[in-house]
Amino acid sequence: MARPTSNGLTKAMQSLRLSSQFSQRSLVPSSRQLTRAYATEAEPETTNTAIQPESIPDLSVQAAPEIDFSTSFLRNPARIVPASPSYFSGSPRFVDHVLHLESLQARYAALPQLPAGEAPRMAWFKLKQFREYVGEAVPVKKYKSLVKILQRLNRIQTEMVPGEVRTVLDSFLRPGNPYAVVRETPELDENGKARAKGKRKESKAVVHLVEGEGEILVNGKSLVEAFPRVHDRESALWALRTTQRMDKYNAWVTVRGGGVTGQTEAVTLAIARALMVHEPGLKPLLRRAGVITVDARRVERKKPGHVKARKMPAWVKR
Amino acid sequence: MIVRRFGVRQSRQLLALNRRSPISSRFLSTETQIPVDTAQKEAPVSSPNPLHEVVQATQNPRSLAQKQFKKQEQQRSKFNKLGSAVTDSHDPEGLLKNPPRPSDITLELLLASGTHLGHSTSRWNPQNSRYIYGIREGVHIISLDVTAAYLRRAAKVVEEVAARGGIILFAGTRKGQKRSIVRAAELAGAYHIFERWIPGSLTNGQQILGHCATKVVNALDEELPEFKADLADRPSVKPDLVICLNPLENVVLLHECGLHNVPTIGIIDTDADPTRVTYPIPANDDSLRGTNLIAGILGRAGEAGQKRRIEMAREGKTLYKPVTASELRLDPFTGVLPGAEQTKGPKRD
Amino acid sequence: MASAWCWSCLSRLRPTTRAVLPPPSAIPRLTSAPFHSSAVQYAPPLKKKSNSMTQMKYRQGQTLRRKKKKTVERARPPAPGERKALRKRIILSNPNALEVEGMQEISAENIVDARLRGSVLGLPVPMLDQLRAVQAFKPKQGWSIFRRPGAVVRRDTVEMGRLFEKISGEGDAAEKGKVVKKVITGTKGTGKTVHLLQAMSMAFLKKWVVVTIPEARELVSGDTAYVPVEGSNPIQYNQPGATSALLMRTVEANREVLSGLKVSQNHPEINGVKPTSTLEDLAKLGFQDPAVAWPVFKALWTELTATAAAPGMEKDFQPRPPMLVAVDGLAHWMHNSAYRDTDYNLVHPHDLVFVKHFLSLLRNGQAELKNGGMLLYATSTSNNPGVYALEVALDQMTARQAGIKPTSPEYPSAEAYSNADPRVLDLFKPIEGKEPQMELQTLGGLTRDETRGYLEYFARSGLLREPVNENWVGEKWSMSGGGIIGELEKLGRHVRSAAIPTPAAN
Repeated sequence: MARPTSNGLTKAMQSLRLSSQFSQRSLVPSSRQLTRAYATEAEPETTNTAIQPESIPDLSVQAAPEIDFSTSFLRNPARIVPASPSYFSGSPRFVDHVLHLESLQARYAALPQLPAGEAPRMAWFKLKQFREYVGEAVPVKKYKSLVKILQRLNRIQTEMVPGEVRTVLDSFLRPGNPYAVVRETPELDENGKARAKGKRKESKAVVHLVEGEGEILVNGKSLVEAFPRVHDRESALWALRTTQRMDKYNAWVTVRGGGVTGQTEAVTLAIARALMVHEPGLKPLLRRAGVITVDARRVERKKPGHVKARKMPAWVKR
Repeated sequence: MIVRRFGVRQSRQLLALNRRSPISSRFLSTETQIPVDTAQKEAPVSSPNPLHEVVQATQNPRSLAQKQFKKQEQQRSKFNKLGSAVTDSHDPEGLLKNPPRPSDITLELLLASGTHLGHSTSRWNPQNSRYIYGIREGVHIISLDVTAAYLRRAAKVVEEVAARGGIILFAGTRKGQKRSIVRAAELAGAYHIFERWIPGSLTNGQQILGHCATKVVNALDEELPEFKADLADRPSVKPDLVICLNPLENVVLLHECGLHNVPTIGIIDTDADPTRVTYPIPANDDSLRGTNLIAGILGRAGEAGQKRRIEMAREGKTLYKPVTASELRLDPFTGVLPGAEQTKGPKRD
Repeated sequence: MASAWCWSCLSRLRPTTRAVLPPPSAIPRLTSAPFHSSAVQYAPPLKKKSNSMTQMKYRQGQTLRRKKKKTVERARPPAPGERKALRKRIILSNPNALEVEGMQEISAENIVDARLRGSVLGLPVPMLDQLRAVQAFKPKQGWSIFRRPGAVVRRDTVEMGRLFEKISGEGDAAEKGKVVKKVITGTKGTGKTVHLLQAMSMAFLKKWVVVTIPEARELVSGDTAYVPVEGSNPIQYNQPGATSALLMRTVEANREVLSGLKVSQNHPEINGVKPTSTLEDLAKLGFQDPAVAWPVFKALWTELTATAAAPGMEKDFQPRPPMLVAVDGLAHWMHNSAYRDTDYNLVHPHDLVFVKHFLSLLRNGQAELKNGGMLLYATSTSNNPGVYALEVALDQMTARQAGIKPTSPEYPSAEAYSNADPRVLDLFKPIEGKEPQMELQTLGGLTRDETRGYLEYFARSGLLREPVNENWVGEKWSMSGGGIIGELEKLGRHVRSAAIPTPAAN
């Protein structure tokens, strides 16, 4: 049996109701006919008896407050209604969000805006996170339109954003601000060694660059053994070559995955990045040489129904 | 005359100077509160001008943008009253902000709103012949007095349903009907749907609307959170009245309403089937102004009904039979108490 | 003054012609080929292609007329061996290349001159025949791009020159009669074969006897005849053809030395040896009759390694010169040959008498060359069978040279279950305290200075048109994996083609 402590009458009743042990109702003096399930509805005396402690009287427990009869009508349930006016749309929380944001947008449309590119970058919920947030399967397109409104609101002049808008916008941010993390500029370690990575196709290269005489080891082998073709060697060392630093640095390269071209160009990128750690002033030169431009192309996947990524089987009449 | 024209011209220029966009001036109006706010919380007592607080906050402008904005606002307030007052003009926002009441229905209003324009005669549905006044330039003209009568009847229905605590659903899935639908639902304390009606929302409600939250309210529409636990495993809520602004596109909705015996109100143009809805309103359903007007009137009617219901509830009376706590506790499908044997169930009177 | 009119364009000056002209008729107009496009409008209307014509195209013939395939007259196919000869052809000169001014020739004096490091020394013309005879040149070594053959002097070359002086009994630290055994390794393109060539040229200069096996693989690839040696147990095999070829090479290259030496021992097993005959005559017996090639070779070997004449033959005895034995492609002798025994099992090369002879020379502590000399056994990377046991043995040798004792735990050994060939490991087994010991010489890249000298040689031969400066050399040095000479040669050629000035630039 639920034991009332210093709780109010309502809470006592609530716990009594939640326990839903009707057989225990027999503890209530049976002289009274229990006509209602809820004592609050009509008979306060019943409730008094109901909440009396049965076992050991606890002297520290205070008596329940008096019953306010004037409010009993308001405690009665009258109707079961949907919680949201968008109930019948199937995704009421999402629709409510959209309507709210639209109203905000309309209300603050007159506020001055920032130019398109200058608004602070915000990490809105990813679609998956947003779906978890609202608990509804929101389609991609609809979420995009919502994000559009968010971005419009985000473009209000930063110092004039109303507090209401600010709180609403913040509620759509994903936890942890990914754009707040400032990548620290790589530096030489205590041995004067610069470490950098490069990727190309399926290859990944790590380069340790130190000042030296131009000795280069690739996976523990000499450059010639690693890249038998002169062209590959040239492109791997292009960053050093264009800057005429070939005989000023030693490099220890580890490159994995992919083929020869991929490995070569991964090494190119990694060496160029490591060189920038040593001499940041070379950046424009390297940029012009095209060695710090990341080539993000990867092999396009094969599709079902195609022979390759795009190639279709030859058309046969029958 | 010349002076007046001069004033008009000047004030127009000045207005043009101030107005950033039509939407901004709309919200600068001091008449009512913000139309589109469907958040469930109580609408906050908003200051007449929503930008007022922003302006207040920028009393001591720091940045250049703030200074400019303040200057603009000052200019606006200075020049706002200049120019001639244009009367008897149509304000499209007025239908949304302050829709007319059912008592305001006049034939002039309906005519101005273009509710009398039907479809091409070749597309008519002969069942509508009794609503049709005549033909003009190959287009059927709907009899405005009939429209007014039917609209009044529909408004009465909405008001009575609202007064009896019924759940009213405004459905307008055509482009542009969204704001009027939302506004009408807000006025009438009703529900809205402005995107596609998901087929099966009534016939297969548990699947489609099962996850949508419901609540238990008292007679004054205040939520009773202690009954939250009882709301699990309940059938989805079904509307008691559906108002459909475009019945032609919402065949499924009306069909489901028919299956579930839900009365419907619909705007019936000359090409629509009036038997699809319980309470037809013969009117033009292609004009947004017309549909906005009808939605607004019905919204106002619902508002009146809700007001009446709340007033009665304050006196402790209801026109409907409230759901009782024990009913809430009963299994909604079997009608017995969960976990209790039928014999031990409490007797009800 | 030229007229403003283009006289050929006067056709434009006929605005009225069109109207005057009769309407275009179906009769084809006989006109010359129109130059102006405006004449197109006077062209007769295009004839409509009749359908029947196109159909006729497929109905022209009732019978199948097939063109006979023309038999192409082909040139006479190359004679047997011609292609191989072409492939193996060695061109030592390029008349288009510039003559390098002041280029020194290799001589007995300058082989120890450390000041010449980095310069390219030419090979003297008379020696070329000898070098050709011992097949010191290989195709694809880039001999054909220069005016005359030459080799760069590097640190290893100078050291080797000093050894030659020492063994020949000249100079300050003369050790006449010393035997030096070296296994030469190095990555691809490091100049191992050219190092052997330089050794041979030095040996010729010092009047040594040069015995070479230019391709170790040819002895085990099953290309030459082999016969079991009677009475040998386990059974061993003789290779008369290969032996005879070796004799021929040796005689050809060392004719001058051999013809000056008289037979000093008794050779009862060989017919036709007179006490007055020279060693050249002796060797000639061998390559005239391959059946006796091996006994002749043994006889020649005993003659060359003799320190004193047999009793009764002292009259014309001259001290024998030191010997250079050079073998290229050692690894092929360390794994099974392509020969089969009677049980159709593969024959191990160490069972081939010929191979066994040369390998036993290499063995630690074995001082077979009584008159001193040098044994240079080079591995190859261009045709390398990859023998695990040899790798282990070379690793062990490296460790020994680094001062790691064979008892030390760091001393490399073959992995358990790796099934390393015990005969190979045994061959390279260290034997304490007995000289001479095998040495491992690993060739690496050139130094920067040597690289510079080498690339300058390219420039002076007219192959390079870029200024050879410190920066450029450093770049090439890195690009060639740290001065690997084969790669430098490739780069030199590469630049040559890239640096051809375009005609537009002139």
